[in-house]
Amino acid sequence: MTPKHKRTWLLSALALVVGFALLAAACGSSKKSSSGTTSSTGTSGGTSQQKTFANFRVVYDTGTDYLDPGLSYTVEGWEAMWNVYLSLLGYKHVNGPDGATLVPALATDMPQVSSDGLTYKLTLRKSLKYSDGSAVKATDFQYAIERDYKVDSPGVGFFSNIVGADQFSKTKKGHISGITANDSTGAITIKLLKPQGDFQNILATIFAAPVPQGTPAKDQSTTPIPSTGPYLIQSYKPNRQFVLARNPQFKALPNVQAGNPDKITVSIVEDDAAALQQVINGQGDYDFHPIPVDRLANVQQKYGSQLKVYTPANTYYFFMNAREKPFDNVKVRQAINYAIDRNALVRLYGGLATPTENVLPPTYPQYKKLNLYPHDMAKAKALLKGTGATSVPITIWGSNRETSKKPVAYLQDVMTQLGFKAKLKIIDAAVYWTTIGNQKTKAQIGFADWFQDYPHPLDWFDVLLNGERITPTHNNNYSNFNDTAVNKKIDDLKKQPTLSDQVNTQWADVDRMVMQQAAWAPYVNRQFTDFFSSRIDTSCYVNHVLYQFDFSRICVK
Amino acid sequence: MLAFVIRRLIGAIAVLIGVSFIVFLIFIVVPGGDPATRLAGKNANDQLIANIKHNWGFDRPFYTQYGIMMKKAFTGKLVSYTNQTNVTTQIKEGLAATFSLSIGAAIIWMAFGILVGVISAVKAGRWSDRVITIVALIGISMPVFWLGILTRYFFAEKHTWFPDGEYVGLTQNPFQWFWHLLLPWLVLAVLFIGVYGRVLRGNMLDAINEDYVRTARAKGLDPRRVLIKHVLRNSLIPIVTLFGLDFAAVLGGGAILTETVFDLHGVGQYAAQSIGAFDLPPIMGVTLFGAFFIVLFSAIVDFIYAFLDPRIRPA
Amino acid sequence: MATEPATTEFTLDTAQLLAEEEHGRSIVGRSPWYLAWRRLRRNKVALTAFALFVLVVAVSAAAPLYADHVAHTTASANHPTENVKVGSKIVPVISQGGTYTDPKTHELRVKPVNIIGPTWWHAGGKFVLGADENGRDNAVRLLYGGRNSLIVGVGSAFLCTLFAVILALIAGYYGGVADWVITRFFDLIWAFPVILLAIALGAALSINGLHWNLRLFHVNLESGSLWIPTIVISYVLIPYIGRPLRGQILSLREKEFVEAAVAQGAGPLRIMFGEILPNIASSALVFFTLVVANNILLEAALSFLGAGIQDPNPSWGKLISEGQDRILTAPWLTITPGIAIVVTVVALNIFGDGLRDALDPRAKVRIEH
Repeated sequence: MTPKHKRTWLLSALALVVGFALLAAACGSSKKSSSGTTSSTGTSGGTSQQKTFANFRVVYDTGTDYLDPGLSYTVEGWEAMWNVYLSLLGYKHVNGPDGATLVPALATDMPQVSSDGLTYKLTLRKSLKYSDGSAVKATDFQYAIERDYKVDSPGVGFFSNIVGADQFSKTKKGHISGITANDSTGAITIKLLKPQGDFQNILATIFAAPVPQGTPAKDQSTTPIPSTGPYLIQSYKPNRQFVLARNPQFKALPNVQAGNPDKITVSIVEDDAAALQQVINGQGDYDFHPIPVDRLANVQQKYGSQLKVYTPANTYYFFMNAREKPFDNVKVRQAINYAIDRNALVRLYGGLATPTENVLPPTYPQYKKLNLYPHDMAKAKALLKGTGATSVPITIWGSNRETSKKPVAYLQDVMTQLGFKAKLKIIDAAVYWTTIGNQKTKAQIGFADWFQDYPHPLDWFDVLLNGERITPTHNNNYSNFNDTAVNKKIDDLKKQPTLSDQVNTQWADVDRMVMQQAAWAPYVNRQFTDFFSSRIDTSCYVNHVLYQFDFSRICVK
Repeated sequence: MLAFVIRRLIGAIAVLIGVSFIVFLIFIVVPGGDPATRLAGKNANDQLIANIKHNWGFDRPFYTQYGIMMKKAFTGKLVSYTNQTNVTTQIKEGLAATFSLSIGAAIIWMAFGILVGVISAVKAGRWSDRVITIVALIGISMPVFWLGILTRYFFAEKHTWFPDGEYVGLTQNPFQWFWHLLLPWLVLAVLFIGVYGRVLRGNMLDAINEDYVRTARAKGLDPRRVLIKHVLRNSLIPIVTLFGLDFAAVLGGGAILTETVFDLHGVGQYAAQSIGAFDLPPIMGVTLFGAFFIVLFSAIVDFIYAFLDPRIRPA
Repeated sequence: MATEPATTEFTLDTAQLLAEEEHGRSIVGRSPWYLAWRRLRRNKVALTAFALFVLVVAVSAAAPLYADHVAHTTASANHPTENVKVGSKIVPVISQGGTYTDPKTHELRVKPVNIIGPTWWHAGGKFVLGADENGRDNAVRLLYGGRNSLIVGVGSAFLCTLFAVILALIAGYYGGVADWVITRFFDLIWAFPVILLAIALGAALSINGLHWNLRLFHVNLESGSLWIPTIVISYVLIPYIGRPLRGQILSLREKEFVEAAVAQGAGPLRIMFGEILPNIASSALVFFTLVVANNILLEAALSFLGAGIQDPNPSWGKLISEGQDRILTAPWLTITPGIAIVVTVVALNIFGDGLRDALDPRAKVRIEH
């Protein structure tokens, strides 16, 4: 049985934090507190009201890879750790698009960026302590980044624009020359090789969270690293359970409040149906798994607002390799876009999806709905006429997860109707991405999806569609899309340090340019579910745009 | 006797080496299975992949890699490629569930297997024998995971009489332990009950026609006594062999389907998950673990066999 | 046993005399195969089981005909947005679902899709057993699944028996080093956690197929090929057949007819295949039947774990695994392929037993699960 992971490779990084007068007000206004006590703690402004309760019991899936901030690269790991390891910057702990707003966390303010966009200056807050009581030092930030390199972290790619990082990657000796820190003043200076518009997002990733110097340069998941956030990791038994407890040293920060549960017990359950049953029975409080499709109607009707439906930033698409026949012809790529019926694909996902023709998901402020390719088989066939495309044998690639098998089986059927000779090639999900990301595979067309690493258009266009970033192996641009105009525009926009309205409009233009070239055939943005036991007050529910459900804000009725 | 033990030991080691080498080869040859690229994640760069290759030893010749892996396996230092968890620790964590499942199911299948075999042998040819034979045959012919899914559906989901999967520790709550394992025990046992019942029936029918039984009967002994003391006792000897091997296979990860269907977090499910993740070290660990039990139990079976039947003492 | 023989001395000669006395004709020599057939003919249960198996094979083989003329679709055609007429009602194959914002609570809600269930014959043969999540006809997939399961089951049993017979012949005939090596090989397979190795192998090969290009010997199997599960499964039961056959051959090797052949100057190949093989053929045939049954189960297990037959090919085991996700609303998706497996395997087991009794009533041929 293939495990049904909810959102598996979310990749990327971010960090935590949060502000919350808003939220606190929302929680505070909710009425009774039966098992919880309402108290006011924390030094931050005194406006925050806490609704503490003893134990929040989470039923998780098996996707947690590490509980080490330098190594974890999954949604599960980040959702668990964004209230444990704070970075210099973070995001607001709020619902909706405002969650993408960067705020200072362990830093006193947002960074001062030099006019050439190459130097970032930050200051660490004074008198911060780790959960073991030792002081947080400015050089711990530098240590954390260097430790990422020493543990071969999957996050090091985010830091390669820092001066001296590539050199350090080779030697792992001395220090990264582009990072300087002063423990007595708390000043941290970072020098970049090129301007990078999303660098503040990079600073907010969990990979950049300071850790005590002397933390061993190997996986520390089961011997947890002291934390800087409202919680600490008390214990971890891989594949079974982990426990988060309040960090006694934590004092509320302007954007990071103390959490409501005193303790968070996370048990790992593989099976969707079993997990749901546990929460219905009240053995657990929160079901991370997607509700099995055939239980959805019943659960929604019976438990009402204990079920939350949300759209994380994701896009599901078919890549079409522009280096391989017949997809080197833009007409063929457009034909596929016309031929697929996105409403049919929504049905394949059981209704938990919305059709899309954009690269960017609708949660982005840069999103402008495109409707370039309404379903039209006749038009698709007309475009193919004279291209000779249908005489090229086609192999459609997919992974063996349900979410991939269904759309590729549909695509095969559609392409057969268009007159192609198309066969399917389904391979194990564990090796799928590295296989299609290898140019030797010459994958023509197939399944792909993307969940953001951080809420910035660069995480989509630069990572997935910039022709200059095509690589022979571990390629992320599965379409090998390489359009000079698009590349130039991405490179220009990359220099913009902030996302102003004018910049956002330009990103929407990039989306349009890419889709006019039909680099992908995007088809849906998927929705997911969070489900809570009856004792949980879901008016406290916060679903963050990047880290998704926020354990720390939840409260009981 | 000592020579026998030594021979078995050498044979066992040879088999373990063979088994591990084959598993290793399967994964080395797999294209796209390069663990370095996968460890590097989606945001990889060449330097990172090169570093991982070097640090994990993927750049060494395959026989060196095999040697290192074996050394790690036998010193308990084998570590997963997907989350660097220690394989030995993970197998140990799964043992409670796997042992509970196997031992419980073994008791059930032995008891019912003998019961079914004896009844159908005694009633041979009558309708009750036919019914039992057919039922046993259906038991043998069912895919165990299908039976598991259906029992879960009928008894734990449609009607919520039983818990829907999961394992609860014996020390944690003995009643819940029993309650959670009841369905998996029965499901796993059904197949073996069918097999054992059929084998025992056949053996007993053969034995009934043997001279010594006829002699015993001719002496005027109580037929019931003859059945139990002479027929059943001798017919059980081959069952012991069968039991040893089956039990070893189930312990060593053979309950992979039952554990997966009921989400018991045992060694078998660990194997299934690791295979799904293409994670060689745990697969190697579980395979060696399973092969160890099979080799061990087949040796034990030979001893017991010799003990029960002096005609085949090891030479 | 009830009647006493008429003469005290009963030999083949006297039997012939007696027969002539009683029926007025003499005994004619019959081949052992003919005698077996006569015994089998009297075993109505075994014959019924065999007929049932033939029926399953025939129905599965007719899958393309059924798809074309009854269900009016193909094995891979998706119908997610179509409607069918069931009786007098128009029913969508998969109803339109989606997410929407609840006007009162302003919360995001889902309208789950509704997938068509069994129409039996009310839709003129379409969607007799309903549709799957892609809007494919389940009945069609069940038949194609049967075809694939049977091909893999029979094919792998054939390969298994073939290898086992050859290895047993070599081991039993030559003895010595060859015997030792082959017996150790059997031990090795025996000690392998069977399902584990098969899954590992199945999963590994499913990625890029099997490609060996030696000088004279080319093997090119694509990853979706049915050959891959067939080969993976075939090795598993080799020792179960090979061991008892080797034992039989060891004793046959000492028999006079073999010695006679040796004395006549027959080569090893002639002795192995001309003299010994015919004597173990009946055992091999019985084993073959039982291995087919066993391999159908094994294939189902592998497919269930994702290491057997690969998409888009259906198989019974895969259909069970796919149906599992919808078991609460559509239990028939899981139940029907399972029943197909049970019927086929029971039929093969009963027939195998009958065949064994007919060919050699004294043989102790048995296969474990």
